[in-house]
Amino acid sequence: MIISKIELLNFRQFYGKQEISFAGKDDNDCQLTTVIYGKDGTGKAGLCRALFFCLYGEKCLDTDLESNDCDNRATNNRGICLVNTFALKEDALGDRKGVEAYVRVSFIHRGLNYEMFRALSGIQENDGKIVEQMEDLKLTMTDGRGKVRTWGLPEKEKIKHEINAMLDSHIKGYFFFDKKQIEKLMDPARKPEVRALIKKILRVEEIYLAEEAFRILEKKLLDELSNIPSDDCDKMVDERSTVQKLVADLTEQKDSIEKKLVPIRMELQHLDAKRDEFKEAFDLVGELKAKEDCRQGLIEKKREIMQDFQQFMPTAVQLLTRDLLAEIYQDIDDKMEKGQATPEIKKELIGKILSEMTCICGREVTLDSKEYTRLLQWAEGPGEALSYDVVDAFTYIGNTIHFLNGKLEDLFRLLQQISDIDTEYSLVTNRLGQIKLELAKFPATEVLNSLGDERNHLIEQKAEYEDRNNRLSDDLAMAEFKLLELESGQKKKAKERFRYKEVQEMHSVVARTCEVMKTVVAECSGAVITALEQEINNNFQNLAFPDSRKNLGKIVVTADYSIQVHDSQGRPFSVEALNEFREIIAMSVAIAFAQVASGDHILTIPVFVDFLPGLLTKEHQGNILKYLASIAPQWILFANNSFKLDAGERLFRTGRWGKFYLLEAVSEEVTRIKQAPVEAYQTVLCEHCEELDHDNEQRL
Amino acid sequence: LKRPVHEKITTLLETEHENIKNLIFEAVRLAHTRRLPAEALAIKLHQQLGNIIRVAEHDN
Repeated sequence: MIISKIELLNFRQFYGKQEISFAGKDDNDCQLTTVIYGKDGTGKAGLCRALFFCLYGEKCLDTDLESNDCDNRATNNRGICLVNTFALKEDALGDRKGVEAYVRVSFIHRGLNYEMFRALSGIQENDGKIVEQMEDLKLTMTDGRGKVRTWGLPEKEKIKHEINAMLDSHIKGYFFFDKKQIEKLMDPARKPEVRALIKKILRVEEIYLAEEAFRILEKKLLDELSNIPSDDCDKMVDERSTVQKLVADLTEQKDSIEKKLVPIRMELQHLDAKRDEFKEAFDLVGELKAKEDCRQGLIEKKREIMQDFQQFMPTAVQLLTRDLLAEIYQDIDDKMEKGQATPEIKKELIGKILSEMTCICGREVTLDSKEYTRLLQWAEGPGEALSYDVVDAFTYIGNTIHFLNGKLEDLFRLLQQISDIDTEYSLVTNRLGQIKLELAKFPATEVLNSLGDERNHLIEQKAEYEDRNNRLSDDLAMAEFKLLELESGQKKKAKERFRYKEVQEMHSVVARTCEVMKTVVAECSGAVITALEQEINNNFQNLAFPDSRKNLGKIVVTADYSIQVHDSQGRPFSVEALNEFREIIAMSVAIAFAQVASGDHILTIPVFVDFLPGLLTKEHQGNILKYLASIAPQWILFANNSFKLDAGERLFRTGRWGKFYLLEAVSEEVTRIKQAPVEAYQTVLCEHCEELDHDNEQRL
Repeated sequence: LKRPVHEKITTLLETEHENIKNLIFEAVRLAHTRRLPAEALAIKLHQQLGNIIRVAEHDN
């Protein structure tokens, strides 16, 4: 990757539209170093921020996260404001339309020209709070033949993937050598942090993580295997086979009955046809039977009535006295009206009853009855006393006549019933005669009867077969249901067995993967450690002077990714005792990380270096500048006042210094980017040295 | 960017079965892209196991 240009609009300190064209964009251009010179706070880190914002949408740098200046890399919150604050204030004082800001980065990668554009807007509210929001995103790719492809916001994920494929966001920080990061590498108090960082940057962390995940996964699969019922389903297969046989047997029986039913049904149809032919005769026979039954019923009924009549006969005899008693009743009534009723009449009557011991109604008078005692009292009593009882006798006779009238009605009813039965009997007999005459036209009744009998027999037979058939159908339905249940159960079992085998196989793959992972982890970490160690020592050889490094044996990366310096005897060296070597070793390690991360000794990504002379000797500084120029495709040096004339001279002598930019602070909020000719570095650096001396004098 | 670790893994897995290769590369990919802890990574792999591993057909 070679960065050609970065264009900024109202981003951080860079008010308005400003741009930097980097050296090294031409493949044949050996001048691949760009120096961006400015005092601290003029926006050198702002340029890095602009680059990461444009490529990854990140608003924070690692240093911001470490100082807790923002909550999340992708969200700008506490303290980090990307839109130029001067432009925001200007907008707030004006019509408050908001301020547009953007970063556009042009770069070349693998023969393709890219232009990445990311915009945001900001507004300062009345209470001074600044609100920012992302606005636009665009990646334009142009190939050698001028074919252009553009992705916008909808292809956000594609853009992310494309950029990460060039420079993974996880490791981008390792191409930016800033003071803090390099110092951290050799800080004994931060060893665990550095170890974790090394694992992460070299992607060994992912392998360790994958190894642990596989161990967990293997256990999960074992648990799953123990939870799948693996009982044998042979028993179920046997049972299914038995039920299948039963179903076949029942079906066969059913078919056999169906076959038997066929001729019966046909015969019945035939008989029914015949029956239709002799329908009239069958109806007549039916009527004949009914009439005969009816006649028999009438005979029975008449016999019962005659029995009742016989029982009524004694009562019928009493009816003979009814007329006599009516005459007596009338006579007494007349005489009573005329006052001629005599006791003698009564005496005579009482005498007659007592001698015959029979009442006038014909009822026998017994000696122990109350009536007999009363009659005796009347017969022996005086005539006057008796005259009073004529009224009673009159009443008795009246009641007796009333009783006899009721009996007479009963007699008439019986006689009427007999008459009715006789009439109906006569009608039935006549009809029977007619039916017999009509039947004479048809075959003999016996034939018809036999036809009916045969049909009845067939109906019975059919009913029996149908009944058996129904029972067989029920049994068959039950058996088929059982068979379905067994089949479903068997399928379930088969599925479980399949899943068991599947999980078993998966487990065997995962178990084997766990074994392989052990080797992978050992080999990869070993390879990474070896590569890292090799690059560190190689870098150190290039950066440190031979005289200075004679006491140092080797820089070693241990199995737990700690960095140790050994003396020529192979004994660990105290880091504190290393003095100026500490920084040169740290620089060697930082460069080695970038080399191992990019997979080559010669880097494929531009390197950003925050120039820090620290304890470094001038010779070491020169070595760093020279060495970086030889291994990086392009590098950008952020220099401040400590980048002195001699350092400039050494860099200039490498012949790789292509572009020179000055960051001039117009105010605290505004920095202007100004390009200067590289050849004028002496003048510029001298001016700044004088400025610095003047500042120091003033301070003193 | 060339990934020395990935190259190493590729070399190491050359003789291994396709299932194991796929599984390891998928695990490393997920660990890198998703930034999941080991437990969550194991769950994710478990979910995808059927797609990653080609299990031989079993008789019913």
